[in-house]
Amino acid sequence: MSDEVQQDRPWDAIPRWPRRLLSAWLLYHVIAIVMPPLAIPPTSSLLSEIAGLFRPYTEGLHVNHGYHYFAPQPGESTLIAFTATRPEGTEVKGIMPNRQIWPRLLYHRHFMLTESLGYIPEELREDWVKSYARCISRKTQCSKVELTRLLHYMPTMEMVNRGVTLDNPRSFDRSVLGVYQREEE
Amino acid sequence: MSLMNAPLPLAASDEQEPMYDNDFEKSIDDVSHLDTRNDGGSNIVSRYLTDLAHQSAETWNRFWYTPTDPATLGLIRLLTGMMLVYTHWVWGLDFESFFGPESWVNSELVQRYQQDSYVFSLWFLVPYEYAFAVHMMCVGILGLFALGVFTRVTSILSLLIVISYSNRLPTAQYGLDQANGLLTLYLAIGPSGAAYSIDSWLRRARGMIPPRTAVGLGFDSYGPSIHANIAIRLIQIHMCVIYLFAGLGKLQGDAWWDGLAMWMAFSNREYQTVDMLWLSNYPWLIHAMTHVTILWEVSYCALVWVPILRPIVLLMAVVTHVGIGLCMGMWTFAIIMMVGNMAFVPSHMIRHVVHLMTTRRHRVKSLSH
Repeated sequence: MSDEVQQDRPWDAIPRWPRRLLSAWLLYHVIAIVMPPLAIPPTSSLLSEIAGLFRPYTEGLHVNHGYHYFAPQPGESTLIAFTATRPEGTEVKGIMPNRQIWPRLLYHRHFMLTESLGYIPEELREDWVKSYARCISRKTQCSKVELTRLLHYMPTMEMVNRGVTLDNPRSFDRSVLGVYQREEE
Repeated sequence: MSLMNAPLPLAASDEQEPMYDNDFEKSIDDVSHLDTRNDGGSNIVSRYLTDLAHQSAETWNRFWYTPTDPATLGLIRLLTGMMLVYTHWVWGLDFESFFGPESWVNSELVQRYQQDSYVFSLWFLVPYEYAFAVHMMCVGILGLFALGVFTRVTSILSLLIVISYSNRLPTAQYGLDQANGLLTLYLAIGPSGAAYSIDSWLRRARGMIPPRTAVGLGFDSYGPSIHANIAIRLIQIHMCVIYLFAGLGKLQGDAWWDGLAMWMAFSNREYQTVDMLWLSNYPWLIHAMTHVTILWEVSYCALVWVPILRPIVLLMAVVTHVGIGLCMGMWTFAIIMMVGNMAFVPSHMIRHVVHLMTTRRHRVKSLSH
């Protein structure tokens, strides 16, 4: 094959069938990465079922994401407040994520963990919260841990203009998750 | 030259390839040659379909199979690799809380959470007493990948590492990890060690000069190759998918229509790193930022392919992501998204900038001696 042909149609240097196979995979891949975001509710059962066909591929390669950042719109944050009690009665109180956590990436990791309480399946919720409580118990060396879920709402522009701050106590909605006692090994 | 003297457009000569739409118009105007009783209409349709198939195949081949210089891919590898080292090193700062038997979400619970998924993680196999040593080894491999050492092997190992961490800690992940994952995947597919790597430096030192253009796919090529182009194209397309669905997802929310979404982001205490509440006095500015953000996200996948508009679209990406880094403290996410956008920067520009930076450093060095 001449250099001229190679320059004008460089793909001709790849034998036809390998090129067709490669093209088929490229097409498959492009369709595959579009399916997970298309399958995010609200969606049709058709799209959902088609996306299901691609799941082994997209989940295996870790490209099964929806990319719905701050969608449908930025919302309230989910935090966890804890009160951990040592056997002698002293208490350790805190909020997760703690804004003092550094580096900032580590703070975001903790923040994502608390945010996950908003979407984990109902049947796992109890064990999920227990797992958090066990971790806090280990970190604080406390045997009893009480967890409270906080929903932190944002103020409107009018509220801020009236002097309301972001840490206003009324911007938190509290619900007790439970009290967990560490079982002695 | 006045307009009157401007040369008239040339008529298409016989030698020229007939333009499809001219042909199509001619076929419609000149109905005398069509036998309406038989398949005159179907001729037009079949010709249209043939042309469509030919042009699609040509465009497809040109898009995917035109060799490209691996410079852009090499720089993306260097920057993504550095980000991978950092993001994975950070897990080690509180290792027990993320990987220990009493971690935030223990391994057994995570596997129950993902029981119907097609996922794997080396962390489901490694006993905890060896876990920290394995973690350090993983960070080391990511470091080798960043530097471009044995890149063909370390890129694939890096992909397995990135996927393993993500699947062990799925609920501690966010956009950063998704971008890390997709970039690592495409860097493992392409010849990401072909430029700005120890591999290419060693090859040059041994006097192995890269060919101008690789033959065929260009596996193991250190020059322009189809292989490098495929990886770059995959990154480009994936960036388009991300922004398109980020935009379309937002269109379901009222706040992205009534202009208040950016306020809701700025006034979220948990994200806030710079106080932007002064913007409450300028609601029009909040509205404008909201509308521009959504317009940019939704249109990115179309406008970024238009060469004259590309610099503006990419500049918007830089402004948006620097804003996210500054105001919400998500610098890692902001940086990795900007790295992904680099796939649209031509390799000759990358080489020029790198050359300027390195020659300037050499000049400063030689002056100081």
